[in-house]
Amino acid sequence: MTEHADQLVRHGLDTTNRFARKLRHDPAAIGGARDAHVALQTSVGTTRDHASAQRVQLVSASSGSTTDRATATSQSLEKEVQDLLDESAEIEQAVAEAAETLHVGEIKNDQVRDQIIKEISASMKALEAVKTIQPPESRGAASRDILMKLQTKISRLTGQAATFSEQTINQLTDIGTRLGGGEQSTSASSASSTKVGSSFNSSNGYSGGSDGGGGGGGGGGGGAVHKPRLPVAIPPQPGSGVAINLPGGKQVMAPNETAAKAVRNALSQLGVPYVWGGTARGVGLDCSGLTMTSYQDAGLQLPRTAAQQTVGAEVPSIDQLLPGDLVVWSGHVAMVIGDGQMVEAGDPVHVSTIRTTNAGQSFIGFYRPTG
Amino acid sequence: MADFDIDLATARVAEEASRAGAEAAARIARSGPVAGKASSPDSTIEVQVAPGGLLTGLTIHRSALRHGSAVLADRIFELAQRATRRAGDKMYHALAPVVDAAQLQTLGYEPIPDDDPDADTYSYGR
Repeated sequence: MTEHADQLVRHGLDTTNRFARKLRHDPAAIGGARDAHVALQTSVGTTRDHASAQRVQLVSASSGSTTDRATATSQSLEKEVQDLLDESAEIEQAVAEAAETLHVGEIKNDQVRDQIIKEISASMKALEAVKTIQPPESRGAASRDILMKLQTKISRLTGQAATFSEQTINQLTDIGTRLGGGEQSTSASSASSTKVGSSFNSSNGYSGGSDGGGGGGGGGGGGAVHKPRLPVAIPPQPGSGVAINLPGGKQVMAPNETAAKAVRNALSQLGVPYVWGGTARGVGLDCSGLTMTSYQDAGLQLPRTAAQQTVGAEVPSIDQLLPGDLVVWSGHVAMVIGDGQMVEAGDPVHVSTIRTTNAGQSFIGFYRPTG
Repeated sequence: MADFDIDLATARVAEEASRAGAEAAARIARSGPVAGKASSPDSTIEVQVAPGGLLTGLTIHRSALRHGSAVLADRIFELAQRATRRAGDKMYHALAPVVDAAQLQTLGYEPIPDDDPDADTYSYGR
C-alpha cells in the first residue's frame, strides 16, 4: 500500500520536481547581490559628488590653463562615474526582476505539484474504497479505471508545469538578453546566419521542390517540437473586422487592424528572395522573418523562429482560419491571407493554398497572434 | 522557501488513503455487501450484479422461456443494466462521504434520481 503511494507520488511529481530543481535559487544570495549593488552605487555616488565638489573648489581657488585642463579631466571623470551608476542601476533592476520571475515560476510549479498530489490522494482513496467491492474479481476493472483517469490528469498537469517552466526560463533569458545589450540571442540571430546563408541556400535541395514552390527552409532551431497550451481563438463577431484586398481582387475580412496590416505587409513582400536567417524586408527573408517583420511593422512583436511563433490563441480548425493567422510547422511558418490561401517565404515569397504538410516537418498548429 | 519533502507527501497520501479505506470498509460492513438487483415485472427473471456490472446471479423461471430466446436475451440485458445502475447508486451513497465525487464518477457510481424508472424505490426510504 505505502509502496504504491510512494511510487505514484514519486512518478507523478517527477516533472514538477525537475522544474523545481531547475528553478532553484537562493533568495538570500540574490538579495545579497542586490544589497551589495546598492552599497557599491552609494559609494560610487559619493566619489562622484566628492570629485564634483573638488572641481568647484579648484575653479574658485585658481585660474589658468592648468586649472582648465584639470577641470575638464574632472568633468569627464564625473561623466564616466555617472555612466557607471546608470549601468549599475540597470543591473540592479534586472536582478530584482529575475528574482521576481523565479519566484512566480516557483509558485506556479508548486501549485501544479499540489494539484498533482491532490489527484493522487483522491485516486488512492478511491483505490482503497474499491477493495470493499464484492466479489474481488470486479475490483480489477474499477482500479484500472481510476488509474487510467489519474494518468490522464497527471499528464495534463505535467504539461502545464512544462509550460510554466518554459515561460519562466524564457522570461529570464529575456532579462539576461536586455542586460547584454538588447541583441537577439540564440543561433537565429542575423549575425551568425549571415555567415552560413549562402552555403545553406546553395545546398538547399527542397526549396521550391516537390510541393509546388512551397516548403521554405528551416527557420531555425530543430529539436523537439513544442506545442504550448493557448486559449482557443474566438470566431469573428458581427460588426468587427477589417477589409483587405487580395492580389486576385477578392476582398476578405481580417479580425482586426493589426492582422490586416500584417497581411498587407506580408503581401508587399511577394517576390522577395529567400535568404536563410533573413529579416531584411525587400531584400531577403526567411519564412519566420517574413511573418515576424510583417507583424512587427503592424506593431506586434513575434518571436524570431518559426516554431516559437505559436503565440496568441490557437485556431482549432482549418475552416476557422482568418487573414493574419499563422500556420506553424516545426521549422516553417506561413501567414494565412484569406480565401483559402497563405503567403510564405519559399524562394521567393509567394502565395499558395493553405496546407498542413511541409517536407519532412511536423505540423504544430494554426495560431492567431492577435489573440 | 522550504524544500519540498517528497517522503512526507508520500506518507501523507498513504495515510489519508488507508484512513479512507478503513472508513469505506466500515461503511460497507454496516450496509452489507453491495449488489445490484433487478427483476422483470412478473418476477420470472432475476439478475444480480456486483458494483461495476459483474454478473453474480441469474434466475430464469420456466415461464420466461415461452417468449422465445430473443426476447429473453433482451430482457436479461436490460435487467443487467438496471441492476448495474442500482449497484452504482448504492456504492455512491455508501462511499460519497469518503471518496471524491469525481472518482466515484470515474468508477461509474452515480446516484439514480428518484423519478428514474431504474430507481430502486422499495429499498430506500429516500
